[in-house]
Amino acid sequence: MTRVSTFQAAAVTDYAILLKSVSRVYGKGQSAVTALRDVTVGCPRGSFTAVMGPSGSGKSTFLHCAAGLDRPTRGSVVLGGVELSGLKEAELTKLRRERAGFVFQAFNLVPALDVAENIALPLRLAGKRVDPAWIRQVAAQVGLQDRMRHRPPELSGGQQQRVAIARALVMKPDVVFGDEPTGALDTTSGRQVLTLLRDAARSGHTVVMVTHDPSAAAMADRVVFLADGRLVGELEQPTLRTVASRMAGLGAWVEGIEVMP
Amino acid sequence: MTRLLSGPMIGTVWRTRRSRRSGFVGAFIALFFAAATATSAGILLESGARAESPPERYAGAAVVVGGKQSYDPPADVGNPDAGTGESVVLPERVRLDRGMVDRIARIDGVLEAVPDLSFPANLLVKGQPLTGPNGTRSWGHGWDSARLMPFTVSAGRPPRAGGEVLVDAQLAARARVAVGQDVQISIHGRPETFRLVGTAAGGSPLTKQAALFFAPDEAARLSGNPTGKIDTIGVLAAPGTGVDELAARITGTIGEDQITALTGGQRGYTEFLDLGNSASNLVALSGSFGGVGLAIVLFVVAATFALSVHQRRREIALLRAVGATPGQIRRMVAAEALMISVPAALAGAVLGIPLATWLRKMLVAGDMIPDTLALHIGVLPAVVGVGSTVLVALAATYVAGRQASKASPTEALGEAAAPRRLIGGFRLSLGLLLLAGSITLVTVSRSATGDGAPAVSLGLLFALILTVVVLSPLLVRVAAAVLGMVISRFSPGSGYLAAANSRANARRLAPAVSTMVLAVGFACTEIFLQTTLLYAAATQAAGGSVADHVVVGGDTRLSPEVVAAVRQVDGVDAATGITYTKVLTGTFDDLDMSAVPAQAVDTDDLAAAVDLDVRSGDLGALRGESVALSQSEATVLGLAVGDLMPVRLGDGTLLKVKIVATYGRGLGYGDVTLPAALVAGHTTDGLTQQVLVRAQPGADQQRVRTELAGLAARFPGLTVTEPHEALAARDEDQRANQWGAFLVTGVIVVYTAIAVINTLAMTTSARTREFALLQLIGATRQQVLRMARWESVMLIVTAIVFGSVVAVTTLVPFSLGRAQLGFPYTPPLVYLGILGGIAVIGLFSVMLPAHRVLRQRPVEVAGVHE
Ligand SMILES: Nc1ncnc2c1ncn2[C@@H]1O[C@H](COP(=O)(O)OP(=O)(O)OP(=O)(O)O)[C@@H](O)[C@H]1O
Ligand SMILES: [Mg+2]
Repeated sequence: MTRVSTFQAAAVTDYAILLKSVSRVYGKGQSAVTALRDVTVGCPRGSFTAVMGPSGSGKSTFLHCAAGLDRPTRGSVVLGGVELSGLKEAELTKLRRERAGFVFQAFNLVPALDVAENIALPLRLAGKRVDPAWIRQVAAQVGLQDRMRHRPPELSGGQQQRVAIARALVMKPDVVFGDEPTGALDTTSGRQVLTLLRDAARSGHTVVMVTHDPSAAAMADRVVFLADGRLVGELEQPTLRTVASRMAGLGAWVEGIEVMP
Repeated sequence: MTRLLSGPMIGTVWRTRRSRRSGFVGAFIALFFAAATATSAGILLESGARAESPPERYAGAAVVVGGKQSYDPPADVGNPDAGTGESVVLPERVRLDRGMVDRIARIDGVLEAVPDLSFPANLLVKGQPLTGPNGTRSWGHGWDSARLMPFTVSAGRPPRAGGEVLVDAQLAARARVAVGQDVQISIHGRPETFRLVGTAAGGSPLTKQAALFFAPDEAARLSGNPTGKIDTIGVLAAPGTGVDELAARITGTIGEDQITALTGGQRGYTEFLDLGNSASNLVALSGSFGGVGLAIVLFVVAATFALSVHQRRREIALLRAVGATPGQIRRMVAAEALMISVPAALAGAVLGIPLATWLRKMLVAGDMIPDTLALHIGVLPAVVGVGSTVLVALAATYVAGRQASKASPTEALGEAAAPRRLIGGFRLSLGLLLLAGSITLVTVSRSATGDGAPAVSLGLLFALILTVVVLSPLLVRVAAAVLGMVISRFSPGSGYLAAANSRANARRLAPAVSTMVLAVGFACTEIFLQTTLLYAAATQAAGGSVADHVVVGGDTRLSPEVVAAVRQVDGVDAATGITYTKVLTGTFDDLDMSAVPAQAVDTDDLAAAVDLDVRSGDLGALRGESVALSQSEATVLGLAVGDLMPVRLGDGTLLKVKIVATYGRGLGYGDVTLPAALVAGHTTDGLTQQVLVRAQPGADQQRVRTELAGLAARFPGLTVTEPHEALAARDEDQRANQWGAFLVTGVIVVYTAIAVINTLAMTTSARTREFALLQLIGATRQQVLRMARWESVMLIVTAIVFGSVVAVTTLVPFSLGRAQLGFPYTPPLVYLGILGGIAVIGLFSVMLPAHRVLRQRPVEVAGVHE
């Protein structure tokens, strides 16, 4: 566990994303649920990090806090060198728009817009010029250059996820976040999506992805493990075998089993 | 199966719970106000039908017998048992033969039959006629009828000879006259001197009249009724006789086509004719209120249910996916409709009571009905209101449920609802058919020119609105495409999204747009129909006015003799007395007749005093048994100059008259013009409203005016006004007559506004996930709000355009036909008010829910947090 020392030594700007002692408590009093407890994690620029852990361990909460979609109860988040806690809602949105792209498990696209329009949407929202050549290039990256005029309902689940990735990349963000982006996909489509994410990391974007799937995690540079809201482990250059054994060590693969770190 | 129930599906069910709730609330609100409207219309209708009119002077009579104040043609000439056709109220007193008194007196159980006659008689104070309390009429009677209240002498003695009078004690007090004094009384508009011999008071003070009593023979003479007719007969019952039984016996003996015999709280209908008119006006008004209201409700509820089912397609598709049959879905939707509509309708019916109370208050304030007309709150209107609301809901659900059950199970599995065809083949053909039907109605409406014209216009309005509703997805799509281009130019971010959304979601937006078109179309049509009528009447009246002076009699009116006196005045060239009344017109082919406004005129100087805009024939030939008709009335009846036609005067007297001319200014002067001689003796008071005076060329107008005013000494209450003042006063009267129509139109417009708020709020509230997703991919809250605003702007503009098209298409044929105007009269401020109203409502009912939706954290709703 080198995490604390590394962060304090390194300059904040070396990390595309940095969470320092982040806690997130939902609700109050008796019904309060602590989803994250004092979590400190940094993702270096251009890295591909997978977040794993049993169900309910706080992975989604972690991702939301990291991306500025949710505000931590305690601790601080730095995204692309900007401390998020001081920002107003609109500033936060603008920052997110510029620096972060999102791919969710499902329901990613605006049904009223076709593929090209969905990909270009963040540019439009940011008031930027939409360069058709760039849109085509991004679409080509995800292999959808021939489906530009199709609407989301006319696409397969895997194709829809690829559109979402293209849209996440169109702003050339610092970080691309994915919350189980392959969760609803079959193996082949899932692999395509993961390859795209890894390529994105190779080309300089930082990728943070929550996943349940050890083989998906094995595509990452690094895996961080959460259990019961705590950071319980980290694995550099993971392989299917090391990830699987670490998860087994956490003893929680099956939903509903309470895990003690 | 496990896959089905995990991940997105659970989320789907969970999320649709929200849209379901907003759908339920929306349907509830629509039905709640529907039931309130229907119930209040029902309460007013029943109140009008059951209205009591407590008698004053007849308070002591067991039964009051009067002429039959309605014309009821047999429905079928060959078959007397087929009942009667459309009954028409007769506005003037239907008098009885004096011989009737003895016939009734001989009937078993009648102690005494007391004849009564009434003639206008006003006590003069300093030459000015005194009215009854609060501007009511003042009538003279024979002292023998005083028994009917009964009046008892409070001072002096009863009148016994000619030249003697006894007045009611309140009147004596107001006039400050004392027994023994000589008083001036204007009888039929002419002053005479009488000796005040006594005063009398009844059980309770008179509130709706003043009463003056003369010796019976003197009264018969003064009534000026040469035919020896009487107004009414008060019946005193022999001890131990039941009044209702007695009334039935009297009616049975004399014949119910001859008389009406009223008892109890109904007796006042015979005493005060205008009360009967206002009660039947109330019945007619609330009937059309209920009818039009229900039609509107049908549209609104259908739109609301269509929307609520549309918003649940996902959930329904999921149910289909897990094995529900289309039939089960239909039953589920129907059961839900029943579950919502019954409590909504019950609650709404309760609101109907204060609504009816309020409407009654407003109608009283507008002098449409008397304050004595009490609200009758019975069970029946509530039952009908609730029943019709539930039926409407079930009908709307049937249509929506059929749509819903067609949802394919695969829709539940897709990320977004599969793209559906914008508009089905059946719906498109239906819409085109309706459009063709509407166009046909336009031509019908163009030639519908009589009093029925507004009804035809209403039919056209509903046909057009139905067309818009059926074709709405297509219309929204076209409008979104056109407006979208403009708006994307303006606002490349939010505006662009708004345009794309409106284009893609035409189906979802269609119900909201339909309701908005309904609101704009209905408001514009109904309001401008009235303003056009009023404006046409006012311009026609003004256009036809060629008089230099108008002699008027105010509340007490003028003796017809005033015309001859006016002609004697130095410098007067021509003078025509005008009496406004109503007559029944029809044709010989058809026994049904309808009441139309008419003017009875002195024919001699008619052409010189008023310009009716003669279209054919010659007004000079208006003599004896002849009439002139307005162009539109002639068209309705299908008659032309030279034809014979039946006319019933205000008291029901049937005449066979020849049409001698047609004229253009029917709305301004009445659809029928007939010689005063024909009408004389057939109106309740026999008086004239005004005399139009034309001075000789070069005459000194001021002097003529002064001399005319001098006639007041001989004709008490007479004043001289300028023509424009007389026109303004008439316009004011007509406006007051429209008050009821404006009021119920207003209530229905408010209902449509509520429907608009409702459907828009429903549409917006169901967009939680979409708004969240936009925020997650980088739209700021402001951008989402701007998008929502642009969308509502597009909806508003679309509704305004189509609503105005509907209104113009309805109104132009009407104004060309009935109103004889090239274009409907649309006061710009009123139109802007309607547009402003819909714009404000449209913006608020989108923006408020949008703000509320955005208050939720996007991560929680966007399908991220599975
Ligand atoms: N809005 C909320 N209100 C209350 N509790 C919450 C809320 N969101 C999450 N939680 C709780 O916080 C904990 C962490 O939730 P989170 O969604 O981050 O888990 P996860 O690791 O993403 O689980 P999964 O793998 O099942 O998606 C859980 O116990 C959850 O019940
Ligand atoms: Mg999660």
